[in-house]
Amino acid sequence: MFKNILIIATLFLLKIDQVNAQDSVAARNFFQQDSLLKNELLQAKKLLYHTLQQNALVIKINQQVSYAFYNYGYLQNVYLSANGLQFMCNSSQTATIFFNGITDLKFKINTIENSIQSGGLVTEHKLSIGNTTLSVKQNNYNILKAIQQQFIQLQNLLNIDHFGMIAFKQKAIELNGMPNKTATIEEIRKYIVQAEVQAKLYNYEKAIELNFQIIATHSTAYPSAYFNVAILLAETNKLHSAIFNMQKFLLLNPNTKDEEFGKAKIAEWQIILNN
Amino acid sequence: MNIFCTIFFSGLYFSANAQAGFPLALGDQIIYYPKLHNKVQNIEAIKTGLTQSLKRVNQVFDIASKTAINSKDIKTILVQNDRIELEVKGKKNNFIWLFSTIDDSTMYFIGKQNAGNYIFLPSAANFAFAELDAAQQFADNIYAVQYSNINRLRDSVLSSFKEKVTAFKTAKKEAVIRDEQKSLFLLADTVSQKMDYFSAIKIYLKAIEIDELSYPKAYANIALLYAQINFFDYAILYMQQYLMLETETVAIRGAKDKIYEWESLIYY
Repeated sequence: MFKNILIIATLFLLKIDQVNAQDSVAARNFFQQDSLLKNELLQAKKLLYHTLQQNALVIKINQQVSYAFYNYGYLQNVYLSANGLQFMCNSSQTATIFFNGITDLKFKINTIENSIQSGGLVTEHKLSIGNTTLSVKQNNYNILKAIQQQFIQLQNLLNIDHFGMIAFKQKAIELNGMPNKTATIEEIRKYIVQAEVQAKLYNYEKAIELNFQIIATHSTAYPSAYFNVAILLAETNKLHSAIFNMQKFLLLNPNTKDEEFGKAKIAEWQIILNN
Repeated sequence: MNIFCTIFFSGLYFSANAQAGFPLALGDQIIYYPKLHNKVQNIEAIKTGLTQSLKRVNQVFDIASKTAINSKDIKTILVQNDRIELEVKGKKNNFIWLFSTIDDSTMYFIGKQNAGNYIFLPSAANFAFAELDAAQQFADNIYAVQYSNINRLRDSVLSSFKEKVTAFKTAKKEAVIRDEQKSLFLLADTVSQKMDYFSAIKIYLKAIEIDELSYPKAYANIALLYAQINFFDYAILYMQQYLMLETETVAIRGAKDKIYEWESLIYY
């Protein structure tokens, strides 16, 4: 009798150990990937900072305040902080790009040609980052192109962090292993109905807010909330956020038809962002 | 069509200030609906909103004294915790409209093409605005003043209805629809198909006065008709009454969803 109890207790402890081991593997994976991301982020910030610093003398800064554009002159110094990049210009004015403000920005270089009195053309390349515009003369296009690519890389890493993609992937793996992965509770049902109504009335901001309330109530109970948020964010021209939310939807194992549609949408939005 | 019709609850007055959502067009008249900014109403925000909008009022007609007040004659606008007060040139006494009066008043918010926007509070005053956004701001804040009263009235209607439903269910009586009622329901359906929703509601209300509990679907139909004219507070009330009577799962699900839908239309 005592022997049996001992066997059961041992088996029980082994089972607990197994569960704990699985948990700790998942936790270790998460921390490894998370610290890797943090490290990559730091490197990307530093790389961008050095590129800007090294080419400061050829970069001109323009700042938009309300509807007015101000020429701050050439870049003199760059400061990197945890929150963003600060540009000191030769007009003694400063412009700041905050990292949390670049989530949905599209980094596009525009080329402007101005005729001058002597009859020639002056070509300028401009890269707008929110309200701040970096511009270079024609022969420095490659510098601006490199800065653009580094901003895109940094934005992607910041967004992976901002949207909690690593933790979400972990959660999705755990959830997809469970037999009954969806549950609709009454509170969620309420938000689903209300979000649909607001979307029909073209109140996209309100519909997005309600879908986020669904996610806040239970992050995986209603996977379609991510799908809806993605579509609505795309409608409001927030394509980066739309892509990350669609990726979350795809992580929750939707049916084949939805999966194909979601992937096609991501591809479509990426094309828009790259052009 | 006379849009100033008064709408009754079965045997009980209930202010028709319950509208929110899309504007309803009736000929050249458009009925707008006020909305709430929050579920909990803040008196300071209401006071600021009313003051701001009243600064843009063009004319006020006081019902009690039958006096028209033009904007150029308004010296001071004072909105306090319990009232709106206007000091007017050449008048010894201020014009006062207490919130307690407005509470029980039916509010109509009507815009006429190229003829201004009117907020009519039958027991208090008529406020005319040239600009729609000022009128909307004023109506929203009046609605916020009224909202706690709307909730109170709804709760009291529901609690007395619940008592009747419980007594009916306990008695295990069979629900019988009388011929007189049946013909009214049929008439209401015909009228609503002609999109005369106000009249259809009146006929339905008359029908359920004969027997309140014989035909649960009447409550759902009344709720849908109120929603059709964007009187969402009424729609919610009737759908809640329907929920007390209905037993079928699918119908209950649909009714609850409708309530959620209408609730979301009351708030910005």
